[in-house]
Amino acid sequence: MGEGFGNTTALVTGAQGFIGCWLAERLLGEGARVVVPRRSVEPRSRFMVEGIAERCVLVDADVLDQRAMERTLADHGVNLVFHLAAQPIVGIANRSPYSTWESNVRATYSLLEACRTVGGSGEPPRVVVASSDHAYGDHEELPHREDFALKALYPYDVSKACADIVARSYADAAGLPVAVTRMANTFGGGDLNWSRIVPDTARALIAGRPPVIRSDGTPERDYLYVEDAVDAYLAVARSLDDPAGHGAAWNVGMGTPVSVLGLVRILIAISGHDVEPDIRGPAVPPAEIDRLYPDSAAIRERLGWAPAWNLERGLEATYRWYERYLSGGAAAFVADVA
Amino acid sequence: MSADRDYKGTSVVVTGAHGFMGSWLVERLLDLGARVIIPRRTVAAGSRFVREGLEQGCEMVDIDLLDPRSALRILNEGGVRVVFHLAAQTIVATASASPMATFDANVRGTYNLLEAARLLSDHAPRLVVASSYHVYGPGINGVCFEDTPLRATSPYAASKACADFVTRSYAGTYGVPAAVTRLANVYGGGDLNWSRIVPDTVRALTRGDRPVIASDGTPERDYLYVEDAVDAYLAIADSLSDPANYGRAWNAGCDLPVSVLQLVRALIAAAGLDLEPEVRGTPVPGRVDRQYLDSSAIRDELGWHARWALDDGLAATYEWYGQALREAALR
Repeated sequence: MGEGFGNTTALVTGAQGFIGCWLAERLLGEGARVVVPRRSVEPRSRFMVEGIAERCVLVDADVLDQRAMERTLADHGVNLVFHLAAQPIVGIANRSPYSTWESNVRATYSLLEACRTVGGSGEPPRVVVASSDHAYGDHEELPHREDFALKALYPYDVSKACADIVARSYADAAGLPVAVTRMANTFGGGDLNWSRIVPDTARALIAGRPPVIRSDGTPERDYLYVEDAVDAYLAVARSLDDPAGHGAAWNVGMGTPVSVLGLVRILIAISGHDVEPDIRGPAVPPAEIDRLYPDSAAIRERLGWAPAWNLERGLEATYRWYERYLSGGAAAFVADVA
Repeated sequence: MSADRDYKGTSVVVTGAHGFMGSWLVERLLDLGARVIIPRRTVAAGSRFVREGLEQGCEMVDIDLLDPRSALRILNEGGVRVVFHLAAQTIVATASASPMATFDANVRGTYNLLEAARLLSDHAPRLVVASSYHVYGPGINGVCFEDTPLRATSPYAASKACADFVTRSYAGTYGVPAAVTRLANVYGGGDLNWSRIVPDTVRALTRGDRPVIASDGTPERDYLYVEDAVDAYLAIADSLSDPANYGRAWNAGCDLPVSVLQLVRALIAAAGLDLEPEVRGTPVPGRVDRQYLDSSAIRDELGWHARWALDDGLAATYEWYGQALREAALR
């Protein structure tokens, strides 16, 4: 595959979602053909409003449908798969675990099975699966290294741990060139999941309201700007040229964990408003992990990846994106699910 | 155990009753006076469940556990108090050859049942879900405790790790009264999975053939006689009277690793034959392959212990196969 992606036909699941649309955009920029399965159309997504969709091959198919995925992979000669489609919200997982297992676990093994089957005795596509730093669950020791036990307990975290284990088992037994990413909290323009801290805070500030913090502000997370996340996806995809990388898991994060309160204060400073956050919650909201902080030494040292964006610059770019987006009144059309 | 009193007239679902372990569990539950409900999608000819007439004592329901509505219906309409979820695709090589079918059976089949239990909320039955020692993964030399990290790598082990995680998640998040079992290698009459060491060796011996050992004979594992495994299932179901035990994982084994060669020799002795096994594998210098379970939690907290010594269990097992094969019920 080499450096570029000019000879690549990439399937990107979840391209209508936040990270997926940036990844699809980058792949198009690198000269790849991008194939996107979708089961619903979200007219206000960044994927649609910024003209990414019209440059992709759109296939009306559900990732849960193994036969449809097999056909899509074969028909378009897909040689690289990024599996980002998932139910990504912790609160939704707690309220609806079943649909979360279906979207995050069953869709993962269905798609991997399609890749294995379409590969047959020939060359199967390379596959990068989005796991999450949530798969680690609660650990006393931080930061999490890739060889830490997966100790997920709550449904969203467990769904990611299962997807992670399932994906790597396809490398073990089926010889599929697959790796998983375990990324820190990724932020950037285009994230319309308003229950997340960055979109929620940006929206409040743009509307001139004090941002609300659901916890007591102390939970610490590591963060990652979306363009750096895209770089990591491409680096992991390239690493699959070497069979030694098959079945690997890669942590990705800035390596500068910050408390929720610290993050919100940076956004307040960017906004130029003189407001104090409205801190409402207990130390840790129910069914959430207190501190998540992946150690990204492996991807830095072995794949040469490094974040190009620090927290302040990333948040600045993100805030400006939301200002532009919300000035168009687009948010009124977006489901607000916490 | 209080199980004698607890099961009289109690509705119990056993999934995987047509399998080896399930048939013994059903037999015990029927002896204890339980009303046993069995979902089935296929009938395995020659299975111990059918052969020993257990089916006549049970209520058979023709449903597929991969259908979530059916799972809810069977738990709700049956007034079910306890579920033993043993149904699974249990063969490691089959899982590697066909991962998706294994994930469907072992993962989706499990979350369907747990979701049904969650929806029943205060009426949720207790669920004892079969995980496996495989969840600890291949990289461990020595003893596995319940809090040893799960490092499954093969599709079979991965499927069991997912079922294990999902089950504990329903207990920890929603208070579903569920626990998982991580049993050692269970052996006993009725195991028709001929790729496993005990059935394979017994079948060879009943034909007067030399048993074949694919490895060099040195890998050590612990083994558990099926009646002890049944005791463990009942003890764990009992433990769910205490919410503190929701979401627990329980190891159960003999705490005694035995090499493949020792195991095969013990079976040869049980058969009363004078044979040497054919050892095909070559030793890997410096490699120690020993994995066994620490069972102190279930012993200390639930009062369970393995009653069957290996020699006694293997003798009983050999006898079962001998009789079954003489009756030509098995091919």
